[in-house]
Amino acid sequence: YSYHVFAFSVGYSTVALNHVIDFKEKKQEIAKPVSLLELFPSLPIVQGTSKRIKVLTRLTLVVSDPSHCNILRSTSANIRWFDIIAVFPKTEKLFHIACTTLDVDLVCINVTEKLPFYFRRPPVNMAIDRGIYFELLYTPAIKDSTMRRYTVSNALSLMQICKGKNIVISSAAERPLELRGPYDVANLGLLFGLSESEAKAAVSTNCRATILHGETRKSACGVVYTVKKPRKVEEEETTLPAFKKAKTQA
Amino acid sequence: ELPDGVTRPTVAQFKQLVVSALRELHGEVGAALPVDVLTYEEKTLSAILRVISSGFVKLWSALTLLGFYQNRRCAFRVLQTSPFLLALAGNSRELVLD
Repeated sequence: YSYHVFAFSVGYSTVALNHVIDFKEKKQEIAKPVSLLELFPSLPIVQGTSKRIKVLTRLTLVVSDPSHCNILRSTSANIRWFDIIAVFPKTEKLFHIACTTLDVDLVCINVTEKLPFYFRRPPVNMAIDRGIYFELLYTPAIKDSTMRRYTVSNALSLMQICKGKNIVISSAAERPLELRGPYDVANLGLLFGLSESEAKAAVSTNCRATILHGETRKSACGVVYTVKKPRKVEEEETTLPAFKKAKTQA
Repeated sequence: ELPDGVTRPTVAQFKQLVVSALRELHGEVGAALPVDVLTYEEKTLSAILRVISSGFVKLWSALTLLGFYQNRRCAFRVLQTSPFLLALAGNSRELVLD
């Protein structure tokens, strides 16, 4: 785990460890993530600030079948150990389901092969409204030149549909040498078709928003708010999903 | 950054590495971009490069995505970028809060 030593030396303040669950194999149980204290006895200090680096846990579900999504709705206690949940849809239907109804924080966009489906505007806009972010990986682009082509082409097609909003660029690094600094990654965002401010946001503010989204998803199960309509005197009660803030109007 | 045990590149090899990175990502037009190596320290493997501002994004992205040097993994870490040479003397990211 020496790459965490690198991560803060190049300027990251928070790192998320990823556990990938692939549902093609039978009897996959979501394992509890390794306790953080076992990995690092003491977390080093971020360069430039006086705070220690934060390490979060993250779960990625590779779904190729709608029945795999049931694991999210089940009350499996292990899901609560993970701070961020990401889903990796393999078909168009699953992409639609993930954007509209699934309770996840990130939707991973495949960069290693040609996408079997095209992005359509309605599910992407719904995902943006719900606060779900699309994730692009950049480590395959370092390893292989064919993957570079697919990364750029898939990223460009995503940009055309979502206009650069709600993008997170992350690394699937397995070795310390595959990690790149945050400004380098923001520059890669420019290659993918983002504007400069969007590219920087893709590395900083959007990531923070994803973490907060995960926290709200973990904490609350439902919010009730009442609305009094100004002219009519009737009262409405509606339950909202956890990530929309409660509004009260007089 | 290179893994341990790899022979360190000389100035000429370093320049060739940069140009080949540009060629891999941006093709012949990218490789034709005029890049100058102003300084190069073999001990710390750090260098100062100069490029025309229109080619800045191409060069930076090509360096970021470079994965291999002589079939071994490597990584480019860009420490500082600035249009002025004097600004490279002090690194604002190394300031520490008390």
